Order: sequence, then structure tokens, then C-alpha cells
Amino acid sequence: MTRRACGLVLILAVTFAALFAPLLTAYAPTQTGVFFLAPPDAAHWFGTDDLGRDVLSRVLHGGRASLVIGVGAAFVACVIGVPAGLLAGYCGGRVDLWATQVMNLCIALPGLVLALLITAVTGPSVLNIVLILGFVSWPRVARLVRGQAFLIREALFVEAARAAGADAVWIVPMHILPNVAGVIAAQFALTVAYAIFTSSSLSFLGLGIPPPSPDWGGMVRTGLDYLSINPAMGLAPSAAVGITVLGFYLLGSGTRG
Amino acid sequence: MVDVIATQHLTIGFGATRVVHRLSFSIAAGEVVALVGESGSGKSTVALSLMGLLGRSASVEGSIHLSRKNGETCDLLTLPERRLRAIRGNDLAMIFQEPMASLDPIYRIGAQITEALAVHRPMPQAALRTEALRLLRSVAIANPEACLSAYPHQLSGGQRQRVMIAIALSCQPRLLIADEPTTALDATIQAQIIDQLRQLRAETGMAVLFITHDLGLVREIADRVLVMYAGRIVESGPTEAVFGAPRMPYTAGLMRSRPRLFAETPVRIEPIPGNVPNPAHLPPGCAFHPRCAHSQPGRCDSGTPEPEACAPGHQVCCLRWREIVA
Repeated sequence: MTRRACGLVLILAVTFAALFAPLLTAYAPTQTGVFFLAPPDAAHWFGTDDLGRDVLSRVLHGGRASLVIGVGAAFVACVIGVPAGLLAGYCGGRVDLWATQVMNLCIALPGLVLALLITAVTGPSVLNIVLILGFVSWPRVARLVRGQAFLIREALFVEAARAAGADAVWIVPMHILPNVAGVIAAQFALTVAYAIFTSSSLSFLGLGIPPPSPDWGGMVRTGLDYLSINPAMGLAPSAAVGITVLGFYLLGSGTRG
Repeated sequence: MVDVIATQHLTIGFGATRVVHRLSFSIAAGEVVALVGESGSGKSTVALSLMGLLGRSASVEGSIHLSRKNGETCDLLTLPERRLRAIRGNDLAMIFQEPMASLDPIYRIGAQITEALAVHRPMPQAALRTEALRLLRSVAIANPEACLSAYPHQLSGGQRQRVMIAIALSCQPRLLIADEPTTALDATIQAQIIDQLRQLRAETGMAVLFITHDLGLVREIADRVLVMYAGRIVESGPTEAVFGAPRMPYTAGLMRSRPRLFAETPVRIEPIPGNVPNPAHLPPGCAFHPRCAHSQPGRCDSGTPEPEACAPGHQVCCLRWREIVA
């Protein structure tokens, strides 16, 4: 199997689990029980957490928020990054110089720290986290698109289009963008991976989706305290983050190569 | 006859370096004019300047007068970009040297053929398709329906160049600029493409500026020849006159350095010694004098030769052409 196929299989599995979570478990993710911190058994495959909730159910349901955040943030990053990259790459000159400076400035700031800072000010919510992570990731998309647009701008078929009387308003959407689309798709998948990982880190640091909604990063944080009593409580959501990020990473890097 | 295009003192520079010097020539309707010269003599720069595609780094002076299909005559160098776009592809079309790279790899041929039409005269899809088929037939593509839905990588080099010609013809241009259109092709395909161009010229009456360094092709297709050296036209005239009696030693050198398959007595190929000078450091006087067997110290290296008529319609830029003939 190619990397891309492996990535797709993982992503499909995670998406399926998140989508059909209510059908796959007997417990609601917020339903508390009388058995606290029970180790895994037949009734609770991953045991229960400190409030008696089923860990498996919480991991499956938690995938929804993670996927929404990952895809949403990648979408926001592309909405800002693709036009910025196309503009810089196609126009070149002073426009490119300024756009590149802004991109470099944004890339120079560490994404997680920036995201922490903004989340601390705006407060955590799914929408805020999507916007913040999208804002943190757009320069990478823009830089990549800029480079490709720069290359394709010099292609003879673009020159030929110009010789046929086409202007930038025609050439950029008809020739440049479709030829960059493959790279954008790959970077989209990589950005999803990055956003899911970073949002989990934010949650781990206490700036995730507010409880009681299930959320992988937050579950890892609480699970850490009870690692010796029910290890699955922290390990299961960690594994979920790992599998999801790996899936998107394989898809992205497989598409690029 | 009406001139389709006429340049006056066309001078092109990049930064401080001038690569084309005071070029004046004209092309009449239905005429095929060949622009020949070694690599680096400025041929392609001239072609791009006619299309207005040189970019901002180039400074272009002089004038390029084009007589448009609608009867109006305008100077391309003073037109704003918006009006130039209406002319490109419409009155002026260009085909490039590399048919492989001139087509966008992600579109089917059908969509690319009608791109110029779609830009200049928007029309419904069905009409575009009919037009694309007609164009493909006009350039003698076998099985035009299949070609419409093919991607560029599925076509051979010759087919792609035919497609490029079809694209160039789509708006019935007054002037077709062909920048070494057959250099990247096999000799047999080359002959077919040339035949095609000749036939299309006869059918449509468009003028052709044919840029090449292949003198055999020039003799096949051109009515008139312009020989360029170091950014200047050093000899121009009817093809037969220039080939039969080249007056400029450079032209004569080009003739001797071309392989002749069917000569009655075997002839040695005599290359011209040396290289095309760097445009940033042109030799003083006649730019060709360091490589010229006839150059005279004190004369050829000081005075720049101006074009002189040596026969009707035949001009030469050489201080010594009268003595060399004798």
C-alpha cells in the first residue's frame, strides 16, 4: 500500500468512528456512573474516568471536535494562504517582497505560543480555535503556493496564454491555480494534522474546548493524574491523536511525493 | 500592398545593455518574411517586442505600427496594456519553439484551442466546440474528434505543434509570428508543418514572420529575408536575391556554413570563426568586423555601416560591399 492509501484508510476509520460514535458505544460521553477509574473490562473496554464516564465513548465522541477543528483550521489557512500566495507569486516584485516579509514574520513566531496567547485573550471555543489555528497556519500555505505560482508563471503555456490576449484575471484562475491545486491539497492534509496536534496541545495546557464536552487533549491531561490507576484513560486519547495525525500526515506527504 | 506591420528604429535594451538597435522593417499582407541569425542575435527579443510581451525590465523605443483587422492603424508601443490585450491573439498571434511546453498539461486540447476565442469573443460551448473541430481540420490533424478530448501528453510533438498553429489561427490574425516553430521537431514532421503553414498562408492571406536559424527552411517558405547580427539587420531582400548573391560577408558566411546535401560538387562546410559578441561589449564600428575575412583595419572598426540599397529591395549594411563584390 502506498503512503497515501494508508493515510486514507486511517482517516476513514477515524471519521467513521467519530461519525457513528453513538452507535458504537452503549454510553453517552457525558453520562457518569458509579464505578470511578475502573480498569478496562468487557463493559468498559477502556475503563472509566475519574467521574465514572466511559473512556471509549469519550474518545470516539472526542474525534468529532478534533476533526472539525483540524479541517476547519486547514480551510481557514487555505482561504487566507492561497490567494496571498497566488498574488505574491504571480505579481512578483514589490507585492511579493511585502507579502514574503509578512509570511516570514508570521512563520518566525512559534505557532503554539501564538495560539496560546490569542486563546488566552479570546477564550476557548471551537470557532475561536479554528480561526486561531487557521491564522497560525496560513503562512506555510502561502509560502508554498507562492513558490509554485512563481514557477508556473514562467511556464511557456502561460506565456502562450498571454500571447493569446489573456490577462492576469484569466491566467491566475485558469492556469496557475489548477496547476497548484495538487500542492494545495497536500498542504491541506498536512495542515489538518498540524491543527489537530496543536489543538490537542492547547487542550492539554487547559485552553481547549470547555468541559464537559469530550476532547482528546483535555482527556490526556486528566488521564495523566490517574496513569497508575487506569492507564487507558490517558493512553487511549493519546493514541487517537496519534492515529489521526499520522493518517493526515501520510495522506499529505504521500500526495506531495 | 498594405503593410501589416512596420517598425521604425525599434531599439530594445535590458538595463544599460542594448540588444536590438534601430530596427526598421515592414511586412506586407500575405507575405512571409524570415528573420534569420545565430542564437543570441536578438531574433526572439524582436518577436516578443512585437507582441508586447517583453516585460517591465525591457526598455523599448521607436515605433511598431500595426494595421488591425478593423482597419485602424496603431502604434503598439504607445498603446495601454488593456488595448494590447485586445490585439494579442486577435490581430497578432504567436507560436513558440517548444510545442511540448506551450500547452497547459491539465486541460484537454479542445479547451485550449478555443482559449483565444473565449478571451476575445465569448460564445456558447457548442459553438466553441464546432470551431475547435474546424481549426483542427484546417491544420490537418488526423481524427480531430479524438484530439479534442486528448490531453497534451497524449499527443506527439508534431501534433502538438499543429495544435499550437490551430490556436494561433483561431482568431484569424493578420500576422502570425512563428518563433522557430520546427526546431524541436523531426525533419519529416518539420516538412509537414512548413507545408501546412504555406498552405494556410495561401488560404487566409495572413502575413507570417518566420524566425529561424535554419536557412534551408527559409529558402522553402520565405518571400523575403532579414538577416540579423548583434541586434541589427545587416542584410535584407527577396529570398532569391539574398541567397543568390549575398552582399554582406556575414550572410555569405551563413550560406557557406550550411550543409548542402544536393550540391553538384561536394562542398565543405565552413563555419564562421568566433562567436556572437556579448551585447554589453559590442566591438566598435561594424559589429561583425572581428569575425570578418574582409575587414579593413581603420575602416571597419571605426565607422558603423548604414543600410544601403545594392539592388531594388535588397539592402546591405557593409562599408565594403562594393569592393567585395568586385
